[in-house]
Amino acid sequence: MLGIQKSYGETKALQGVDLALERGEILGLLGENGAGKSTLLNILCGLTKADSGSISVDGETLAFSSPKDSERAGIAAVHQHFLLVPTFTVDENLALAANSRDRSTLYRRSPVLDQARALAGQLEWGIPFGSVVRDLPLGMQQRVEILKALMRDAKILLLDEPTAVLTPLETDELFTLLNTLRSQGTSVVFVSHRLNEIRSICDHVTVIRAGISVYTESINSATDDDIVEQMISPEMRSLSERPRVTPVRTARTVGIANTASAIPLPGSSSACVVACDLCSASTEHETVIRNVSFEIRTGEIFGFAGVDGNGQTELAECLVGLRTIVEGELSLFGRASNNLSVLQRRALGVAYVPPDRQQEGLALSMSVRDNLVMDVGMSNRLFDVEFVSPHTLVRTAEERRHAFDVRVNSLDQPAASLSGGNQQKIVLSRTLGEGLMFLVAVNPTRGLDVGAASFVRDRIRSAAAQGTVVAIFSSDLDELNLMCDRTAVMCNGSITGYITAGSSRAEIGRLMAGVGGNR
Amino acid sequence: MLRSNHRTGADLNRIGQFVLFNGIGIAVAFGVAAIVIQLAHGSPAAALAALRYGAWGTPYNLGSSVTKAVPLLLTGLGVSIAFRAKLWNLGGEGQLILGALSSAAIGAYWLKNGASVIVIPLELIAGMLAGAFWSGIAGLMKTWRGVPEVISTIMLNFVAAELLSYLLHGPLQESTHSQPATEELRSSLMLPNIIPNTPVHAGVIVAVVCVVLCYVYLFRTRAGFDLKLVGANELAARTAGINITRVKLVTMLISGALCGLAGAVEYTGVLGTLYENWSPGYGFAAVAVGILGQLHPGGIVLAALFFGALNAGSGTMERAANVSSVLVNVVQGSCLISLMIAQYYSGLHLPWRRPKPRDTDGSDKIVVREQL
Repeated sequence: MLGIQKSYGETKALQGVDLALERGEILGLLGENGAGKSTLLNILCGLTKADSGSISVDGETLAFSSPKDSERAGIAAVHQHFLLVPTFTVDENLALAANSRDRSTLYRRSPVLDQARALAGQLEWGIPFGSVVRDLPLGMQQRVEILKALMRDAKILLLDEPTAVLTPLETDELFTLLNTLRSQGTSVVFVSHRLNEIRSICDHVTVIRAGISVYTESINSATDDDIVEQMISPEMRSLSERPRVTPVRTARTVGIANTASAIPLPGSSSACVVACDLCSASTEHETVIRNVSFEIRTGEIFGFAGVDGNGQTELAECLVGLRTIVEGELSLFGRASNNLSVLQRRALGVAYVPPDRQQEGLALSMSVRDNLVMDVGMSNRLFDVEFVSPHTLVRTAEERRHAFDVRVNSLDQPAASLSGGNQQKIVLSRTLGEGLMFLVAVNPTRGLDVGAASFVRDRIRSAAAQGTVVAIFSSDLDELNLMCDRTAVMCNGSITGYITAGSSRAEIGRLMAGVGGNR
Repeated sequence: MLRSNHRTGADLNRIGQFVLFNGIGIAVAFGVAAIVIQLAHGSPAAALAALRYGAWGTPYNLGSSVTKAVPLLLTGLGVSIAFRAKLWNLGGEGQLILGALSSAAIGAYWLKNGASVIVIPLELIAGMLAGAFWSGIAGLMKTWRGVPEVISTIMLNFVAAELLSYLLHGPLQESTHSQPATEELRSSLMLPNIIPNTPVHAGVIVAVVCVVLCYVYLFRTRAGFDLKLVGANELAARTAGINITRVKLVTMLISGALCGLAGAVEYTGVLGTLYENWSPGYGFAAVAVGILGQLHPGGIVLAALFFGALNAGSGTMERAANVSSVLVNVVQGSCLISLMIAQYYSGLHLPWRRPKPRDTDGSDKIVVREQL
């Protein structure tokens, strides 16, 4: 594609992007949040129309006016936010996707479903075809999306941050799949913020900055420094020398060798968070947390690793008061906290970064300002008619917007109009404020670019340095390694072990799968 | 592409657009009505002229329009405040009936010899409490056992209508027992007229106060913010620590109180006695008023005045132009539809329409190098 331009109102999202993709090649696409990667992919798969520029496939110049045109050209996309109907089953979603070609009236009889099962079997993916998509973990939802794309016999596969929701094992599997596809002649555009992933899978890398493709190089001849350099806009480069509050603690990451010391001691101090034999159940009376115990001291960053859907989110919800603790004892700073509400816990300094910013973190139809100040002045009175001064709100919103550099045209625009990274910054700006005592963050840097993720990590570290207790739940092992003093691995609702300095990926994988391990 | 850049335009631009599109909408609606009148062998010009005269041709007619707008305005506010929280209170009619009934019980029976300074406020307060009680039943069922309020509020409308019928034939029937109606309310216990030679009563002031209170509640208080947040994304509201149950319950109570107040005001301001089917469906029209007013107190005022004027003008139209007043329903219906279409294309959106996600931001400014 050549010279693609796209603008939205006053904002120029793309102003001249050139992209070349060979047959059987994986192209890494890098760029900061809002650099235009998602817009570019939307144009490629026909969801958005380019203002100017041309797209050609196999030498044939094409005009995409709808996703169908793009599908006909053999392009399929897996989006960052999945395009699945959450209340439909996997089968129904697959049948829906295939509907344009398949006219069977009874979708259950559709050959598409057999084809999907065959394909899933080939990939050794255990996909629960009868389950409702909403109930599946994100990693599984993504597999369904990829399956949808593959079933279209796509010659060109567009993946928008596919690894953001995957565990290391799932990522490895995805890469194996991509390698297979590559050898079969499929071309892949792979968007990621993680340089090491780009390096391990891609043949070429293209960097987009502020809507312009600024750099294309074969992966072997591009150095990390070059790539990062290209992503950063020149005028902002000086900011990268911003003084750090605390030094990066890469070296001291990997926690303790002796798991015994991670078991909380009875009669614990008031300066920490202690969980003792926590159990919780989902609505179907199915236990989702089993006897989880840990102790996190002030100033400590404690990580929870694990395959998506093994109780991490539920545990986080137990900690912040969104889920009932059925058994066990949770003590926040020496106070028995099992029955405290979210609000009461917030008064103790508990803050929460939920895993799904669009569902739990934001009200997308409301303005950016409203989203920034969602927590201001909340009280517990029955008829709360306390007046909130719009000026105070605007000031607070402006301060937070500034502190986290949320890029907006106006505070009045709806939160839905922001890119994923900027949405995440709104959520983070609410939590990393004053009076923070205990931060519970699930995938805090999901969808953030390298610079913004690093900024957030620094903020979390500096909060910890000031005595905040931090619990990070992440599917990104590198992030946990980078951030955490200790990291526990969860499987099936229990802590199966702790990651130590000597843990190999294989060992961690076994812990995540709940087999063997050091416990 | 008018829709895609509406958020960035200046406010003036938006208001201009709003006026333009709604103007087109009303013009189209009256065009449709003219065609229907023509088909019914009437004279469209004479009918519309009569409608205009009936709506604001004389000060009395104008006052009549305003007075007829009052119950629509109050019920419109009531249902809108619930709709803002995505609570579909379709029981405005039942709450209105309960409000009027309890107002009658106070004014025409229990305190019929009381001093008006005490009894009139009590009549209105009783109306609010009864309305809140009626919606509170639906609210409690919703929050306690998850009963969909759409169904429970509609069902409670029937219960209210039957309750009214029972009371009119029984305990609250007037003393001669000749017809199913309540005792006549003493004129000193009715809302006083505030503009001589017009039907405008003090209920107009009550309505205006309610509009202001609703505006302040929705846009200047924490509780109003919580209400909107619950409506926009319940899960996010819960995650943010808002007590969803409480917000929903309080919202239902406020919604019912406003609808009940509408009943009390209509009874004490206009009717003075209750009979079966005294309400021409104010509680249902409220839904149209609320949606046309885009659930905004200011918009609801405009929508209620518009419907009030149509109602007031319809009688004149029937008499002067010899056109059935049923045709006014055609005018109302076509207005509603064309205005909804116009609003869809104008800058202001219905609050529950999720804006299309787009990337409008440029590149990020935070740049800190990261070792990977």
